[in-house]
Amino acid sequence: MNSLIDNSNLILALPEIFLALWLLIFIPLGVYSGGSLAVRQSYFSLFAVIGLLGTFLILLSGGYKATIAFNDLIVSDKLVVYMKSLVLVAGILIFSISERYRSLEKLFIFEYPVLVLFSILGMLIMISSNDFITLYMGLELQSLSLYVLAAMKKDSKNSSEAGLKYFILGAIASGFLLFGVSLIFGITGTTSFTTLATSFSNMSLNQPLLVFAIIMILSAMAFKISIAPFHMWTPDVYEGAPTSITAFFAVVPKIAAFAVLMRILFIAFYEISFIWQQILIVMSILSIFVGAFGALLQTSIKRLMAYSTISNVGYVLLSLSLATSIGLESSIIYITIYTVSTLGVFAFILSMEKEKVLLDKISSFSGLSKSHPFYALTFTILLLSLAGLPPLAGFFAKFYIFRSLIIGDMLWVAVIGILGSVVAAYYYLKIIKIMYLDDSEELLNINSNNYIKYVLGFCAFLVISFIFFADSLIEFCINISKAIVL
Amino acid sequence: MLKLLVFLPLLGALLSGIFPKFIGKKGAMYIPTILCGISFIFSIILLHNAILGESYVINLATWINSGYFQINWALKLDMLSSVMLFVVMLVSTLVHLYSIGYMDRDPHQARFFSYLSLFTFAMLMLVTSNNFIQLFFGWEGVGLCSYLLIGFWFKKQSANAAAIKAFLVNRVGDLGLILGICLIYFKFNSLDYNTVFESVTLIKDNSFSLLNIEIPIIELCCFLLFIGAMGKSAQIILHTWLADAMEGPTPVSALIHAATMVTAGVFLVARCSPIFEYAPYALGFVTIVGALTSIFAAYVAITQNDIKKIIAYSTCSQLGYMFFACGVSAYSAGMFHLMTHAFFKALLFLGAGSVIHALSDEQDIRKMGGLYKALPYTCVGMWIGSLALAGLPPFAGFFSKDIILEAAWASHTIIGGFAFYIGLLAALLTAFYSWKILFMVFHGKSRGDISSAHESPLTILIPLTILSIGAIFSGWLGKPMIDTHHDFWHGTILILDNHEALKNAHHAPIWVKISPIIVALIGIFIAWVLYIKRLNFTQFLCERFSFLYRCSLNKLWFDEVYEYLICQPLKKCGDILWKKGDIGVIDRFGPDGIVNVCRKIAMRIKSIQTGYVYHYAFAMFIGLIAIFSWQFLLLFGWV
Amino acid sequence: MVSIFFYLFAFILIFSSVFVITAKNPVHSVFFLILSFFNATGLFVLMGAEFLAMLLLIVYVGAVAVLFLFVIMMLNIDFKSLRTGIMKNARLGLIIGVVLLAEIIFSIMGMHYGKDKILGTNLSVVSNEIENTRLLGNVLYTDYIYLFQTAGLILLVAMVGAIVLTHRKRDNVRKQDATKQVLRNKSETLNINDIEIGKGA
Repeated sequence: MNSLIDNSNLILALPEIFLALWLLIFIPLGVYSGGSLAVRQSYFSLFAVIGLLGTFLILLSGGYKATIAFNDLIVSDKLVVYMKSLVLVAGILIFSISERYRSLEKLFIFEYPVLVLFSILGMLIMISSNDFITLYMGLELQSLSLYVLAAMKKDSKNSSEAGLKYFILGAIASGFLLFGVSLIFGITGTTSFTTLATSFSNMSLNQPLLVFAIIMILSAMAFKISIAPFHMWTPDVYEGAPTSITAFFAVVPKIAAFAVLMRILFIAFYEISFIWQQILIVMSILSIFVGAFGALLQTSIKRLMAYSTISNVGYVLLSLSLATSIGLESSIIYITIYTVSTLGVFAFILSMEKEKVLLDKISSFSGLSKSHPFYALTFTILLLSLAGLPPLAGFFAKFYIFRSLIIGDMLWVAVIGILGSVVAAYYYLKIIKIMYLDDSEELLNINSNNYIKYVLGFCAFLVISFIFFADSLIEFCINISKAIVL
Repeated sequence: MLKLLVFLPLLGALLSGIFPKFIGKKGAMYIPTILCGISFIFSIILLHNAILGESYVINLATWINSGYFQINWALKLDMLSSVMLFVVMLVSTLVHLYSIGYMDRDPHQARFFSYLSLFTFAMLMLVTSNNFIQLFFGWEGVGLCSYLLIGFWFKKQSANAAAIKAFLVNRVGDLGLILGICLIYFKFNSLDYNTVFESVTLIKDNSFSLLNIEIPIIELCCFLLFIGAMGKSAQIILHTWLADAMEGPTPVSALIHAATMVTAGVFLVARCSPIFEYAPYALGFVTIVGALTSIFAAYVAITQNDIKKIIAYSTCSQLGYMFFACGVSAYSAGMFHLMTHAFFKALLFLGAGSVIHALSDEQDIRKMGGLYKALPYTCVGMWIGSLALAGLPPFAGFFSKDIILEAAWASHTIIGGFAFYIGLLAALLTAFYSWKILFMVFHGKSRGDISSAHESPLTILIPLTILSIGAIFSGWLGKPMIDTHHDFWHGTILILDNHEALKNAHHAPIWVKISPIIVALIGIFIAWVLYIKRLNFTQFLCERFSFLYRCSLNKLWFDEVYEYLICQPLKKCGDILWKKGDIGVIDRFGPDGIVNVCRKIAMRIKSIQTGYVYHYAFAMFIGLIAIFSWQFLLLFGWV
Repeated sequence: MVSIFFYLFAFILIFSSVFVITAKNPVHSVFFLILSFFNATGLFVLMGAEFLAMLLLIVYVGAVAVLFLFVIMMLNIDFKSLRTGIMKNARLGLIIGVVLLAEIIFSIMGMHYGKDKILGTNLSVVSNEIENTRLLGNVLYTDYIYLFQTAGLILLVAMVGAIVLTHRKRDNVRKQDATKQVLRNKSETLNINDIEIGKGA
């Protein structure tokens, strides 16, 4: 009976186990060593980063071999390892850029890193899930931490509001997911992805209830990655949450949710792609346009980034909706590049402060090119990449999406997607225009620490130099997708 | 070594262009110069190798790879390109050196040197390319640098205007070149020199009909390519920019507008000789245009008073010589003249620059005179240059101009004969205006304040000396180029057997050989009479032949005609299109209309975002139900 | 017999759920909630899942619902004013609900009926020999250990989150700090002054 808890199972879950144990050490350590003392905070952050690094190393030492463990509950393969690494690296970088902001906003309490680690743990569980129950557990662990993190700025009404909104809507989405999963269980008698795949291949698929279940599950996932029409929470939560948490929101949960969505679509529901393809196309086009148009009139950079996220995830979903290996591969490329660009953008946002208050109005960046040319230049590069200008990385990301669409005989969808990116380019360019052409109202005072500068420079460098290592990344992504889709 | 040769100037350009503060003011001048010097040494070695028969192509990277269409970045070394490399690097290096002295008072040296080096790089890309696209890259690159350098003193209104003019006129030519390249790709399915040249014979009889006239494809190709060459090499009709281009600093005029860039057209024709050879009508056209340019420019030059403009028109005229040499299939004679011309024309320009420098930017020859005492070295240099230009033995110009005229005569065609006599007349005028400069600047009485004139610094004199040596000996040294018994060009220039002008040229009668010298001497004599002996006679002549005089002085009203016929109607058209078409129709329904629609959609999306959580939840449900209803209806086949 | 009870419980469950929402008095709402929990328990018992039934009773009725009751009674919230806008959207909400319901019903009718299709795997997990609790325990600590541990982590996060969001330092509150009281000594607290006689006002 104890055969389940043998070595092979444990080794597969080792990254998660390590992180969980680290957290269990962390909490008492934090409580008994002055968890809310400002001077200790950098040690706590360091401790958290070391935990993430350790997890990362354990993850890498595990290898890429495709295996299933814990009675079909979790899985490990190339996609899992890659997405987990992306999550961990992004998590580490976000820690390093949020330090200064936390010191400004009285977020120097040790629960902050603890909750971030918890949510990352949830994401790791999500990514490696091979069963809807595991997925749900990971999702809840992740979301619950994020709800709390969003509401963390206790003296800010916006922050509490954001946390509450996210919580309520997230609960509804969880309800959708559970409803859908229970229907699926009712129809097929299983919740395991791999078993689902086989059971779909020998049953009649023309069932409305199955469609309903799938729509439920997809809606829940769409909520997590903020796809329209389930995107409504995104701008409010992005704006209300503490900015360092917004940075986290914008990058890390999206990676995890996409990783698990890929697994659902391409393993569990691959046989019934005819059901979800149309739905995903409609949702992703809708969110591309909501993202593009919604951002046009925004004056707050955080809200703008929220809409930017909405339209970007639309592109990823669009190429997933192809249900082909090429679509999967280009969406992995897109996620990778999106992660880097968005991280850089938030590094920039987190460094824009005046008199110890973070700036949020886009118009307050005016004249930045003269006072802080480095920041203006790197931010420009990142924005241009998000807008998709060659030869920056963002161009290739979009290029591969559209290429896969055209190969998949969805030329018109590609054209619509391109139109959306044209509209989106406007507001990215507007920021650049403000930084370079408008006269400054007041001079900004940037006291960012060096980490932010390094991360900003690093992201900008990656975005520029992508063209030189594009081959190897694309090769890698092709390998990943080949391992999932035959 | 070829790679280094090509990329060292680029390195120089980047260093002084991007890091001027880092390498300092001195560094920004000396580093590009030294890098060019190294490249020059390489070019000598490569020329030596090429003469021994070496030729290869280095592939650097794939540039375009689209279907069957592949273009590489490649460097091609053969006889033709190595000669060009040598000429370009020699003049470029000397001009760099010269500029150190010439630009000493300018605050933007780093920018200047950066442009110079960039130009050199672009020129090298042009001459070493092994396909038409890379040639076009270099072609546009030199055009861009030319624009930047003409407008170098961007605070001067006239310099800006001249820069724009040069650019625009060149665009007309470039259009021809692009069309030519497209046509070549269309017919040959390749833009690689070797492939194209090898398959010329396969399609030489292809033609298409336009308005019931059968036009051979190959004629059209050559014609279009030559339009490109006309633009870049300032041939008549598209020549107007060259004189205005003299607004740029003098070293620029020497490098770009005398020795290298403007000769790119000649190089193009010589490079494409395997195509041109099969296009007799296009060759005829080349000859006529070349001949007309040579006489026209010489005719305009005699009445100009700006020292640089005279030399510019002289350049124009000499380019005409090169072209009609090519037109009668004497490509090697054209290339030979290109090389010797590079020496003596650069010498003249640099000499003129020295004079201008000495007189604190005075360019009007009417305000000079008797400067030989103040500027002895410059004076000697200018004399040598003029002797070479007029084609007196044993100076360089003698050999090359002689062979061109002989070839024209020996082609035994009507066009060739026409070109020969025109060429002789142009030679007369050439000698005349050259000595006009010499007499008016260095001899006779001083007409302006020259007391402050002083000899230029060493960095100016060294290039002058080297070029003088070149102007004396390059003709003699370069004679093997036109040797018909031994193929100097190692097959890079193709001449069909029935085009034997060059071969026949060596057997031309003695009067043909001597006549250029005689007319040159006559020209000098007239100049002496008019500008030293009988000064008032000049005035008389001007009045007596006032029509001819005014024609020449106003450059045959080319600029005015263009202004009236092309610029103003275009401006009007543009005005109407802008106000009525663009603002009224396109903007209103296009950008502005779209912007308004976008704004409305954005407002709508923004207004949905109420901030109430139950609205959001509602939206989620509505979304869910909408999607499901849609699928539901599909499933039951009700839609 | 079983089906009669099933319909009874199900019916009451649905109606009490409706009353949870529509009841004017929030205390009544909570009571209806408790009623619906009881009926759900009844449904579990009918299925033979006694352990889950008891769990529902103990946890939801015993703890959660009672907590709700306390909170509602102790907080002085004017629920009347909160409800003012609710009727405005009721019609739309009703339409959506009806559409959803109709669609689900249609979907279920469109199902291919048959015992092997719905809940296709064997339902005989519920055996009469081994009791429910042991059965659950057997899989919970072996097959689903991973999920069980994750659930524990979720609860931990909930606790940490609750503390983070509610715990705050108030400046004006007097608090007893035993350690501080014990550790303080005489020199810190006592100030001995020499006061001349007659001047110690």
